[in-house]
Amino acid sequence: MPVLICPVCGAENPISGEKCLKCDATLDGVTPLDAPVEGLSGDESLGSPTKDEQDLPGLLQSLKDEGDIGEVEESLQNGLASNDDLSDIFAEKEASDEEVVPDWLERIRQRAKEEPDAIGDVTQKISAALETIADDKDENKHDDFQSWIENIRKPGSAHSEDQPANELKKENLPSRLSDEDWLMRIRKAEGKLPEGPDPTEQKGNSLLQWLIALEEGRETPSKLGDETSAADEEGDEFSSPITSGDYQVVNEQTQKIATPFKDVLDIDRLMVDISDEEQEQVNLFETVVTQENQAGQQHRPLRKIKHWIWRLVISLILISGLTASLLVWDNADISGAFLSPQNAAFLSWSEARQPGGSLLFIVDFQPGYFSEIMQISKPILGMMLEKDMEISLLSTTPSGELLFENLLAESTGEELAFTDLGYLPMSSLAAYGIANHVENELLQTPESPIVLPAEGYDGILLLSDQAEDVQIWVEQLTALMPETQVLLLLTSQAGPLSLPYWESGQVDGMISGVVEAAAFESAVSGQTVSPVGMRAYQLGSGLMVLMLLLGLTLKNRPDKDDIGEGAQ
Amino acid sequence: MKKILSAIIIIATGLLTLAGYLFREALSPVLALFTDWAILLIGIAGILGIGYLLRMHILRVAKKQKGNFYSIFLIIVFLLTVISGITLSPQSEYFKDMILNVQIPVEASLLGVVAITLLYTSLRVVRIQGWTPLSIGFLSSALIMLILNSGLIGFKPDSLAGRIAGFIQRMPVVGARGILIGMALGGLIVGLRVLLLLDRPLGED
Repeated sequence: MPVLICPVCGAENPISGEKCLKCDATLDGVTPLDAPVEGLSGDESLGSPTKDEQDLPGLLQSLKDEGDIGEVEESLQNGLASNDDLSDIFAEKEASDEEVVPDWLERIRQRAKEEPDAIGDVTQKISAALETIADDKDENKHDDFQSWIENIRKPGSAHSEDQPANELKKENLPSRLSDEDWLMRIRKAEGKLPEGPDPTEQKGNSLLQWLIALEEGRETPSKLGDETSAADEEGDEFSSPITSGDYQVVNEQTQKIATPFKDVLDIDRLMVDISDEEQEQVNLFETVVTQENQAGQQHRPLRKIKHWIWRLVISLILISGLTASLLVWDNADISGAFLSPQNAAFLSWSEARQPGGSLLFIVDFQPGYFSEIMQISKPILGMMLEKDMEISLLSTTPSGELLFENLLAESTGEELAFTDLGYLPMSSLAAYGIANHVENELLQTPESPIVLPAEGYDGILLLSDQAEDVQIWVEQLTALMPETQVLLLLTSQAGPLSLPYWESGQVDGMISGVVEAAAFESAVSGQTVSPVGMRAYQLGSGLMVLMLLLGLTLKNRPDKDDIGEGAQ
Repeated sequence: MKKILSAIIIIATGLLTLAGYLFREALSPVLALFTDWAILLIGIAGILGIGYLLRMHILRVAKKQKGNFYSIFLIIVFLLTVISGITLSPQSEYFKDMILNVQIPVEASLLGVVAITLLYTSLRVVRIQGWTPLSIGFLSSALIMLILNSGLIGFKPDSLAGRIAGFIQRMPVVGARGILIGMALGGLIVGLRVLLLLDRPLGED
């Protein structure tokens, strides 16, 4: 009996229908076709999900009461008992239906003509009943599959060697699944089905063959990009029997993407009953994974190379520029440098020292800042040593003594003696101890009893790299020893936050950073050329500014990695 | 009871230290004792920290975890330093050179890496968040401070430009003072809550 098959949802419609009874799509231009299986629509014959299984007992009971279900069950039971293959049931049933249409089916069709909404419900319930009965058959399917695997694994197996895998598949799979379905016929009728054998069959590229080849080492997993390009060249279309028009839309979008899962999907479609929605999700997932891999493979190496080149260029500019500034251009004119008030106060204090006085140096900086501190303290140490001042040292870093020794050696070019008062951990503890005349008994030795003297120094000079440490020292010393002069030699990072202590009068002088040190040295020695490293410092600062500006202007749009990492 | 005892010790130590600022001559021996105890405890904490770190790296090597090569390297260098320090003494020239010639370049390199990382991170702030008042303020202040502190432009302190530059250079102080005032107010509030028994840091006992 000719029917119209909806091109959107695949539902069967009467020949006189203008619109699909299921999805209301127009049926204009649809070629009438013979119904493949009476009583089973296309999607039902492929095992669409039973949505109303909860209602099955009621339906079965009502059909039994009418005496129709008995005929169905009897014919199906007979079919199951006589034939192992489910396809035979359908084949037999189809053959018998062509000759004699049962009364119950005639009534359903009559009702469907009268009530368009009833056709889907009733046919779905009948197919659900058939599937419930056919569940036992699924177990046989699984048994068959296991037996294939066992036959494949057996060395010298007739199946694995003599019989091609495709034959195995066709023999053992249910015939209803290997038969041409309604969509294939639509494609044939509309001339969309490619002539000739299936390209996958041409290549013998079934999952089974691929697995066998992989196990025997004859084939290696191919790269995605290669397969994609090969698929593009061959025009390999991922055409598969589908049960939904929506799926067809998705399939058209993904048809050019050949994936390593292609054959897996083929066999899964044959072996597993999945709904249209599940099929769409599979396709969507496959598309996302494939595109992600393709995008990654196409862009990541390029991006990596690009980033690597950028990093290399920036590193080379930085290293070569700084090296050149140290070797060639280290002769900046600093004659125009101005002394800040705090620097001028420091200079006045230094010039006012009398020969033979005593100074306490407090080393409270990390070794990483040694170079900067050395540049800052060099002119002061030179002045103090010229006046033959007695120097004592207290350190709050474990390597303080070594650092100060190096500092003296670098500043004066010779090793000078100084009194080491020892190491006191923590700035707060040391400041508190020195201000309270605490005897550092732990550092005392019989030869040299070390006592922290708080008085008798012309000044306390703090060498520090942290504004927080400066705060502790200055606040403790000026509160407990207001008569003692405190002076600061700081790194540039500690300078700004320590400036208020100078402005408030708690500190008698201060130098912070290389620039102020250069101005101080120029004022002390009268030289007009910057100290070593001044140009490198300026060039480094300039390069940092330049990179900031370039980075902001060249690329101010976030890329995917930035957003992802930022979100994390 | 335990908590009460701890609270009594803490309060007594705090009060004695505070009294040391007021009665320095009388309490100097007590403060010296406290200072020595503190130094001793800090030393013990340092030894415990070193032991914990060493144990962690030994376990990493024993379990062959990722990056165990670095742990092996660390253990070897640690043992070498300890043995040479004990045998040669810290006054040895060889030991001094070994420490300083390693420590100074390594720390300076780390600071350089931090500078570049901060530069890159500040660029990413703009890339991720876009041009917001926060990012604009952050980057413009970074640029201005870099230029001012580089010494490329000199200002006479008494001139208008020098005063403007001085004003800009005081901006970090403004922020820091704001934070300090906030911390002080927060501390005051917490202290009041403890005094009024709204908070009990040492528990209910």
